[in-house]
Amino acid sequence: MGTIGSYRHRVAAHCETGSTRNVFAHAGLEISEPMVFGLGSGPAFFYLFFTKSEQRFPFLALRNRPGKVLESSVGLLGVDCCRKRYGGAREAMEAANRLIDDGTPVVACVDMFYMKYLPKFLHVHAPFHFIVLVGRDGDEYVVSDPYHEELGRLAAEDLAIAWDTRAPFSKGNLLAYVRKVPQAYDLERIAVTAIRRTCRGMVLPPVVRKAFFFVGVEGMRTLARKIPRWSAEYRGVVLREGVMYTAVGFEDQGTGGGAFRLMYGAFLQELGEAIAAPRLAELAARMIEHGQTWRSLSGQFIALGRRVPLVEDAFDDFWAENGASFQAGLADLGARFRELADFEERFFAQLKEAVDHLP
Amino acid sequence: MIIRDERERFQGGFRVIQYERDGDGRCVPKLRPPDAEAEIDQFYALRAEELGRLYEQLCAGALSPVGFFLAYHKMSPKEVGPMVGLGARAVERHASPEGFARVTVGELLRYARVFDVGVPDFFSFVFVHGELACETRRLCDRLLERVDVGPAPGGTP
Repeated sequence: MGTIGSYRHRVAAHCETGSTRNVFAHAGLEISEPMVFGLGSGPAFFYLFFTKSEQRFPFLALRNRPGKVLESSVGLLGVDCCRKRYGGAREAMEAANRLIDDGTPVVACVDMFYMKYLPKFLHVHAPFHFIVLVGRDGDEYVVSDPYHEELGRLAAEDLAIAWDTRAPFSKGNLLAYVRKVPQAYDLERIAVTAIRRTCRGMVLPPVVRKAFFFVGVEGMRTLARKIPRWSAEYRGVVLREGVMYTAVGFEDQGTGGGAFRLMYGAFLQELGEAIAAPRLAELAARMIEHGQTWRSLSGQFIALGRRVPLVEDAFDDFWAENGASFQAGLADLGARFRELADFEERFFAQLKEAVDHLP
Repeated sequence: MIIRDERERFQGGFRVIQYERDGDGRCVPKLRPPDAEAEIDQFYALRAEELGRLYEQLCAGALSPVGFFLAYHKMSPKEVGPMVGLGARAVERHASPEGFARVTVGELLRYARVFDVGVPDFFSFVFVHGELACETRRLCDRLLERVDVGPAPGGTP
């Protein structure tokens, strides 16, 4: 058994949106990655304060819950898509084998740690990585991974472990495949629904904001307040890596740049043209500009982090000489990140207003 | 576990899709090297140093083999516990030399899957000096390991 011949592998900014787009296309529904992301109500922000440790900065989630983009876009578009979690990897693989042998590509949510075809620095336990299984060859699977320019090969043993991971936030042997795509859909109606969901998730009602201080715009403000305190909580290589990898997370880890905001701007731009909504086109331009600002700020995070020495023993001398300026740098980053939060609070209110009053 | 004189190096060539404005003001995807590409090889260097430091701690009895891999992968007992079907406290115990002495083979197999190693990697470190080719194959569901060592391609036997 080889590879599903008619399947077209394409790289993407993000694994879930890319895999979703690719299987939609295989089934006959051509839709861009930004459109999948927007209809999936992708943009979000969560400051996962409870993931912090002595050796690690807390994780940030820059999009909605893994799996939600697939679920929401399928629901709104009316795609006949089967999504199922199996009791174990063996069952999931048996189901996948039948589908692949039948010419149906299979979406799998796996732990990225075991994707051996990716470079080693990507071998991290991220149990919400979406790939598409598009073939079998002996004891190996052919994998369409949006982060890999070519089709990859994965041993069955590695797929089994990657699928059956019990890592925190894992989707437990989730398998999905498309049976049928709609002939037509009302883009304006479904996009409005998706956009409202995004706006609700980013800007919570005032009465709950204090309780959900880690969500949406409030989460961004919480991070902004924390940034100047990083030097009090961390030192040495941990501080260096934390400052830099915050920005790496914004730019290089499957966001399309600017913490997904650029891709969202591309969605609004495409939508504005498709439904002839000039106000959406204006808002798109502002979101794209905001994404560029975010990218530029990420560059400053990286530049500041690089100043911290790579050698642990050199940190005390570095701090004695540069501590004040480094601290000023953190304070500046915190202030500028707060500005990003303020923008998003205004923006998402305006976006909601715009879709509520589309002509 | 195989440890070489020369650490692994990042060869480059990895690209990501990022969106940017083109000349017409359209926000389009571009395939390019990551922003922090310069840091990737540094990351590999830091990992190699970390490996050496943790090996010394292991030999000094400050860590158990489970503790070694926990620290190397920067994972906490709380994260690893559900992945091996144990509570965080049990994983903490196994991270100490005293607690490791009571770990079962079944538990080691589960740890081996989480860390993507073979069971022998908890007990054996092979330092490869010079230009030798070294290939590891895991057998019997990670319980055994076969290591083939020979001249590197093009090298003298």
